Amino acid sequence: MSSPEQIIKEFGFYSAPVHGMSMYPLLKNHRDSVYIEPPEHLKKYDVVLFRRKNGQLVLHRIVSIEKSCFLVCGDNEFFKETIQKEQIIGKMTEFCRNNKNGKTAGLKFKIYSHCWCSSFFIRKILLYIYTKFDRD
Amino acid sequence: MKIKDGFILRKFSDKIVAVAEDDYADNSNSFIKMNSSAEFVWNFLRQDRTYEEVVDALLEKYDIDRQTAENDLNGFLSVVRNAGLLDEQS
Repeated sequence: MSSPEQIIKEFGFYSAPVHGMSMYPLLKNHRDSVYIEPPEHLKKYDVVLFRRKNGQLVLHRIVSIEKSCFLVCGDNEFFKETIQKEQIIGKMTEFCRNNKNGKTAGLKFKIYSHCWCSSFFIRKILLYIYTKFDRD
Repeated sequence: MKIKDGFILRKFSDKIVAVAEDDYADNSNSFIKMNSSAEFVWNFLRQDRTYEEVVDALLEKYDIDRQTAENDLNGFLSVVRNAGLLDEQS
């Protein structure tokens, strides 16, 4: 089976179902899928697919760009992780959330990203409420 | 033969891809890029069909000869078979 790195190189894009809850409530485990393109012009709030040094594939959001590295964090997480540019496989440009397609270039996504990232400290409360009422 | 359950077609940008869904997502990471005729065959094979039935459906849908239809279908089947998404027992 080809790796995402090989597929992006060969086809210019990669698509896969979402594993785990780290990008919840934007993306839900097993329900949603993402469309990944090569990592060009990375900006704050971009959602990127990267590989941890232990080989694990992770989809997180860039919350800060330093000189030689990126700080990333899952929307559903509170721990910021430092990664190198070489670890980034691609960035999410589209996604399918609950059978509806969304683009990361759209205004709705930008507003969501800004609000969500600036609410870092009240996220716990928001997540608690959201999880409680998300009966899907 | 038919396409195994647990996979769904998604359209992103101008691409059509098959991705695993629900509980299958954990076990499979199969990646298949399709064109519109592959999408047609994929949807046709959601139900159990014989090889001949698929060829006939392609001939009816597209303005192609039997040889072209069989070549296209063979190409599609080998991709789907290699990805482990084809159920040939049924």
